[in-house]
Amino acid sequence: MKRRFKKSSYFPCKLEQLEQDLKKQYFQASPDLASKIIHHDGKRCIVVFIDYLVDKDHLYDQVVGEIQHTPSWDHETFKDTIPITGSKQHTELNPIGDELLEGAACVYIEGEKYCLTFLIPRVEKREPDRAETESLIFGPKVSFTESMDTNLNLVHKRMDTSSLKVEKFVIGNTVPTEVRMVYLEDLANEDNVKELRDRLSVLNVDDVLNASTLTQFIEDNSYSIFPQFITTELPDRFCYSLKEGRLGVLVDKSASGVVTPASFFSFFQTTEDNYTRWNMGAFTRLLRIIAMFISITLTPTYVAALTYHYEIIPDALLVSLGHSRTRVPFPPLLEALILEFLIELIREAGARLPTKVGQTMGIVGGIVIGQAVVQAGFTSNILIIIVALSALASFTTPSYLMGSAIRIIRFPLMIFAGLWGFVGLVFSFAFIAIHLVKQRSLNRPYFVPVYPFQPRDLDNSVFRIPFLHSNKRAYSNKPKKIQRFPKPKKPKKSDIDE
Amino acid sequence: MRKTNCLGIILSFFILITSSSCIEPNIIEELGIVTAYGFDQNPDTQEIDGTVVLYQFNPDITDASQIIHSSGATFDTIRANANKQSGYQIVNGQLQTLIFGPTISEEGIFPYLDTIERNAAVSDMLYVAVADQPTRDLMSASNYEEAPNIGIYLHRLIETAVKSEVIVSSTFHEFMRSYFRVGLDPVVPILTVEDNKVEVNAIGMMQNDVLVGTLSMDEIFYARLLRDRFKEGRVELTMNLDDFDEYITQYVNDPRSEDDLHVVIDQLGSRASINVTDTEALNFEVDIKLNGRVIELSQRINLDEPGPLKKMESEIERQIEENLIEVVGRSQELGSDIFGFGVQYNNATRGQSLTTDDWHDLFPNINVNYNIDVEIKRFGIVQ
Repeated sequence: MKRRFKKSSYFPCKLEQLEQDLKKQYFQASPDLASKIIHHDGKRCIVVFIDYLVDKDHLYDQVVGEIQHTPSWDHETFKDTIPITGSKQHTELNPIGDELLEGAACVYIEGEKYCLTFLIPRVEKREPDRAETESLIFGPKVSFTESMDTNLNLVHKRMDTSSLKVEKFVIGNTVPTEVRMVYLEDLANEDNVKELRDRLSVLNVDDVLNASTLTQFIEDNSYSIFPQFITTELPDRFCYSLKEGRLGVLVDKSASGVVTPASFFSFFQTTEDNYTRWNMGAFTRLLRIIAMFISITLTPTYVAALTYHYEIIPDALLVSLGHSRTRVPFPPLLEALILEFLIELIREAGARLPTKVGQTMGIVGGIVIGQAVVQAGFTSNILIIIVALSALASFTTPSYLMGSAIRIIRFPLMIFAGLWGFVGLVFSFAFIAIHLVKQRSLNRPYFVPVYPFQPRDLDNSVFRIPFLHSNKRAYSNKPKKIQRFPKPKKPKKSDIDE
Repeated sequence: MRKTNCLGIILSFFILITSSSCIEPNIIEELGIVTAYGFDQNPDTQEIDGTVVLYQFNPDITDASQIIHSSGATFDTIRANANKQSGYQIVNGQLQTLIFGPTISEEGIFPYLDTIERNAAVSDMLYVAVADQPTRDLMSASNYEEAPNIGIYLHRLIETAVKSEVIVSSTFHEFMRSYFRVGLDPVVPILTVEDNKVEVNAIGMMQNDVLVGTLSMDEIFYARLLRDRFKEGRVELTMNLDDFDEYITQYVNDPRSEDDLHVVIDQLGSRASINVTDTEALNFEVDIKLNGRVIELSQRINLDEPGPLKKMESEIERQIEENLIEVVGRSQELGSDIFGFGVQYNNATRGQSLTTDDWHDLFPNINVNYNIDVEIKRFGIVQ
């Protein structure tokens, strides 16, 4: 597309000429480029805009309406009378096209030396809705939407403090997208801020599709199976992380926020753990970590035990296990792979289908196929229990990305268990452990507080103890202020049995 | 750097996958999993007859148990020969009980335990037992309750007896420890068949790995008293009723029907220590502290008074001492130190290298002095 004009200033020109040029040179005679010519006092004025990009109410009330009611026609007066804030002057045709694409209306009185644009974009957005993927029972339910304005509003409303800093980046060569880095200035570690700012500003890509795509561009290790940045759709969680001294990233047109630096265990936390009292919070948090472990180990252990290590099977289980295996024509590894594959199939089909059909799919897949598979002797019924249990356990992870990682990591583990038994399993776990220990998130250790061992951080990461004793932010983020509040005094007790 | 890394990973994966065929798979449904072995000396040949009880999994047969008889000179040959009669690969990983027949236990059972010790797949927690009749007959006893097969039943039988502190535990590990320890001989439970059902009827005293004598169920208490400690034990003693004549609460129209007083004590806790008082003269002193509660008295005796209680306690002390002297005396005659006097002797004479044979020569000559202290803590409310 030609965008260059040799003339130093395009104006003054004829109205028809302007319209024609815009249409021809810029929009390839776009059918949506609309214009209106207004006559007044022997002068002619044209308003040009793209039909579906401008807010019609604004256009007719505040642009066209004001022009018609203004007695004296010149651009200076228009600038005063038209109550739109984003007005600009242009002497060339080129920037006018860009402005029109952003939703501006272009106003030109014939014979003037420059042209005016007023930004009146029409933005289609939905209202903040209930969170779908990370639903809370006990906490705020609102989720981010696809609009940056709404998202920033949601964040600001939650953190009404002057130390909330928002830095703007525009990323993308083909489709520039607005990206905001959000943090609390008096908490966030400066190295972290600088690191993230560097990563965002040097990013040179054609297009940032979504927040989760952005994280893939800026994460520390793209080869790792584990997500290194938390992607959340809950403003609540986003703000909670900021208050811990972490950094947040919001991407325009994306309904999720990114939180960094993240630790492995933070993927198993929800803000709900803090909202419920500490005993339930601690229990659910431990439950999730145990569930993660069960989800990873259960099927591989079955495969290893039945293929190589019959010695370790408790004798109470031996008969029922052996008996249920007798009709199965496959070795345990293949049996487990088939069944895990089946479960993934049901999950994926359920996710792709509309909600109502998806539920039916789950029942058909789970009950009918599960039952039939056992009766046909394709798998042992004990394996069905194990596979269903580990699938269930993997869904307890609050982060969708981490949950998927856990489900996928089972497959290589199963294969190693099938090839090498427990030796293979131990090797795989060692491999994963080394990988986790080496991993970083925004150049901060990923596996804290286990490695590097930070006993002070255990209080609200792996465990959750009463706030009375847990009044500090995580050391591992190195926030500027560690202490959240001074240790509260216990309320004085008076006799209640008088 | 990155290239070598990548190459390393590919290479290690390649090695992992190709070398995985080097380990032998034991897929559970292809195995005949042995739960018990019985060994008998074949009277005609020098070989050993083995009875192999195993699980095998078959979709149509609900009974997963099978018994195979085979023979061979060694343990592993017996297993290999048994495999000739079975379509399943016979493995020892779930072995729970080893039973030796009468002849073989009098000749020494250690050679057959050796292979178990070398095989890491076999649990050390299996029980070693001796049968008073050929194991072939013992293991074909058809009544084994709800257990899946006779091997499991035998294991449960011995385990229950050990847990309720009726017999002295003799797992393979404990057997080996007593066998190798200077001054301590192993004990094994002795099994018999009664009404087509196996039961424990005694424990066997071994000298090294040779069965030399047995202790009846009543006498096991005294062996256990010295060798182990009681936490929840139980003992029944019989006393002469005349000693308690003055304390008996006579009921109207209840004539004195017998001369014996039976006392059952349970929740019995004990602690025994064997001390060497003179290494030259082989004098030993045994301190035993016992406490428990009286749960059953065959006659009505009012234990609320300190008099009868004291009398009862001293009577129990006397009885236990008498029985201990008898049991220890018999073991001295048989030359089987199942109590561990030798261990204390060995400790007291550091520097001399005592061997098992030395101790078996010395053991019949030892003199033991007993100090027994019985305390009856509770005797129940009966009114």
